[in-house]
Parts: sequence; structure tokens; C-alpha cells
Amino acid sequence: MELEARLSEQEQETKEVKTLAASSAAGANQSDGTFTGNPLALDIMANSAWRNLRWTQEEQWADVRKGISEEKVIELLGSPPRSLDSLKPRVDKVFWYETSLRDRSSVLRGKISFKDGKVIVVKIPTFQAVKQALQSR
Amino acid sequence: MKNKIALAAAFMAATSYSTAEIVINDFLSFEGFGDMSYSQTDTEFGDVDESDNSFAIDQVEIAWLFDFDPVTAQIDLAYEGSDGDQETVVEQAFATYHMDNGGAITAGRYASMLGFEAFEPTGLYQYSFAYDIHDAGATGADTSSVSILPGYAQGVKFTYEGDMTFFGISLQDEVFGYDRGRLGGDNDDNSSYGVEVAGSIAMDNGLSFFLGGAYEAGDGTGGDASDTDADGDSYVINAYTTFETGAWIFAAEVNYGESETGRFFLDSPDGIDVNAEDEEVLSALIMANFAYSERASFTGRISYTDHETDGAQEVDADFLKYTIAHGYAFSDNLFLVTELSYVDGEYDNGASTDYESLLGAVELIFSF
Repeated sequence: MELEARLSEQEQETKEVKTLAASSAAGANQSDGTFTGNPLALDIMANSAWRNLRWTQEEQWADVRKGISEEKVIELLGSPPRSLDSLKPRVDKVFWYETSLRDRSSVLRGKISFKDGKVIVVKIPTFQAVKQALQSR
Repeated sequence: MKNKIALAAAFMAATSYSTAEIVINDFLSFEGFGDMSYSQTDTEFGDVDESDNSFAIDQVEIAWLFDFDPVTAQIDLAYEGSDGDQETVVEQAFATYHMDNGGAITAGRYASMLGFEAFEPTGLYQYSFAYDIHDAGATGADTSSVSILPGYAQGVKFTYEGDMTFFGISLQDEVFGYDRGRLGGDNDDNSSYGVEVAGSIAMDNGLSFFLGGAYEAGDGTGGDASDTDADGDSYVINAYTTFETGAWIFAAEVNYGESETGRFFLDSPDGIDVNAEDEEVLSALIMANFAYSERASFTGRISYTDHETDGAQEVDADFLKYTIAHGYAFSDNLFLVTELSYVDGEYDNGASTDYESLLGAVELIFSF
């Protein structure tokens, strides 16, 4: 079953690559051609974005709490863009979910600390400030 | 400092797969560290007094991590050394095929699975290693390490990692460093090989146990036990246990090894090189670490090593080392270690000579 699942996953990835390639080729041949015109490409991009950026959705953080496992955090938020084996004595590992390291004005910055594979500290991004910033535009 | 925990370290070595990293894209990420220190060492060996102090970048390492599921690969580039002997080396370079059942096959150059203490400063509780006697030049040896535990080797290994168990077996070019950097050879007495086996189990109550061993068949012409002439067998058995409860971590380790090929400290070209036939070594450590706050911890360690040689020269050397260390984490990736170590030893080749060494060190580690 696992082999079948892996095969299926590989096929899906191959399909995605072929679709993107076809879209790019089509884009090159069409005057208004952009691969965003291809609904399949849009779907792939959306899935990819969801896989990598679901931590930017406030509701995804609702179930992230002390005691849950590292695997559960990744399932809820996706793999972190940056992680580290912490040098602090009582922390094993840290996940950072952030938009930009150098963008000090960015408030969308979350941090999760683990000990023995379980969450011990959660710092949720300040989504409220982001909403206010968007509303003020 | 998670990977200082013994079992975790074993698993890291087993799976050769890191999860702490800066992600560049789905296939590539990086991790690494920089390590600098100031140390002052005073050594007394018989009538010889030597003193040494040093501020230096001890090591900088960048690991390239590739992930092409189910295959991962890692290349560690390290800058290390001191006293004008710095060099950049490929510390590790390997590829791993991960099976669905927890098994993995790794080929390349990788770290030994043996030993409680981590290979890198980011995984240590102290500045110094347990089996380092801090010789500031008094003995005339080129190394102050009296450890018999293996380092890095090239070969192929199979590892299995369960939720609470680990097993690994490795066929490699060397264990104690006689070979020419490859597994195999021609018919000209240079076909050394080594085997390493390790297993561990972790309990729900914080206890873990590790048992491993390594054997190397040195295939040389005999001669003077230089890198390519070593001929004979050597082995080491390594066992340790760790116990973690609350803010405390305790560890105990014992090693026993024998060498016919002159690669342990007394008979080694890098060590004292007494030109013996066989060397027998027993070493051990006990350690306790207490994290008294979110950022800081104290460590106490006592380590012991006893070397005996037979043959042309019968020598007995033993060293007892006391270490206290303090660690303070300014942040998750910046760590300051201070250490004070005292070594009390004796070297007896028919005439007994006392050995003493005092080390003070401050070390700053930055990791990413």
C-alpha cells in the first residue's frame, strides 16, 4: 500500500511538472499567454502555496498548543521555513514561521519550541495587526 | 542542546537526517555553526612545565542538506584547526536511501555511531572532550587526546530506527585511522577494513542504554605503525547510559579497547609512540548536567583513562580528569560555555612521572 501511495504521489508530481512545462510553453507561443491562464497550473500553484503557506492562515494555529507533537504541528502549519536545534538547555528544537528575516516591520512571525518532541511554547503571529494594516490601505 | 542527549545523537548518526535547517527550496537547505574560544592551559609533566593560551576560531561548519525523498544527502564542509594548521575539509559526505519500515542505507563518509559525547561543540555540555588531557606540549605528543573512540570513516551502513530503538551496522575503510581513505585496496598490504555495530533502546522513564563496538583489521607490512604500515587487529567496545529527569541529565560511559597496531595514544605516531606491540585501554566517564533556568546550566564531569602497553616497552599511563562547566544561552542560537578542567595523571615506563594539567576556557558558539 505504501509503495502504491508513493507511486501515486510520484505520478501526481510528474503530472504537475508536465502541466507547468506545457503552460510555460503555451505562454511563450501566445500573445497574452501566461501560465496562469491554465486552470490546472493555477490549481497546482494553489496547492503548493497551501502546502507551504498554510501557517499564514489564522485558523490553522487554532489547534497548535502545548503538548502536541512535532508531526502534528507540521500537519497543521506546514514545514517551517527555518528551524534549529536550540542551544537553550530546556529546549530541543525551534520552528520559525516568518515571512522575512530582515523585514523588521513584518508582524507575521510565529515561533514554536519543542522539548522531547512536544510543543512547550507557542508564539502565534499577530494576525490582528495584519488585518488592521490591510484595512487601513 | 538537544543533540547532546545520547540517544538522540545516536539517532542522528543513524538516520543521517537533520531537521534543523534554513530551507532554500524543497530540495536544498543549510545548517551549521561557528565556534570560537579563548583557553589557557598549564601542564606539568615531571620536571617539564608548559603553558599555552589561545584565542581562535576553532571550527566553522556548513552542512548542505539535500532531500529527494526517499533519498537524502548531506555534505558537511568544515574549517578547523589551530596554530597555523587550519584547513577546510569535507567532514561528511553521504547519501541515504530511507525505507518505509524505518530502515536506511547510507553510503559515503560519515561519523561513527559510537560514543556518548557529540562530535560537534553544539552537542556538548562542556568546552573540552572527556578524554582530552590538555597537554600544552609537555609530553612531546602531537595530540592531547587519549580517546580510543572512532571518528569519521568511509563505507556503507544499514541503520534501523524505531520509536524507541536504534540499530546500525557499518562496513568501512577504517576505524582508528590506518587506512588510505578508501574501503578496499590492492595486494600490496593496504586493504584495511573496519566494522562497526551499535544498538540502543530508550525507555519511557527517561532512561536510555547504548551498546556498540568497532573492529578494524589493519593490513600493512608491520613496520613502524605509520598510517600505511599498521598490521594487526584493533577493537573497541563502547557502552553508555543516560537518564533524563526534569532539569537533570545524567550519563555514564565505559570503553574498553585493544590495539596490535599502535594507534592508541601511547603507541601512536601522534601520541607518545613508545614502540610497543600491544596496547590495552580502559576509559570511562560520569556526568551530570542541571539546567537551573531556561537559559543556563551547570555540568560536572569526571573522566578516567588507563593505557597499558606490552612488548618492547611496557608502559602504564592513567589520567583522571575533573571538569566543571557552565553554559548560558543568549538566544536559541548563541551559546556561551565556560569551563575549568584539572587532569591528574601518572606515566610509568619503569620510572614513574607525574602529570598535571589545568585548563580554563571560554567558548562562544553560534548556530544556524
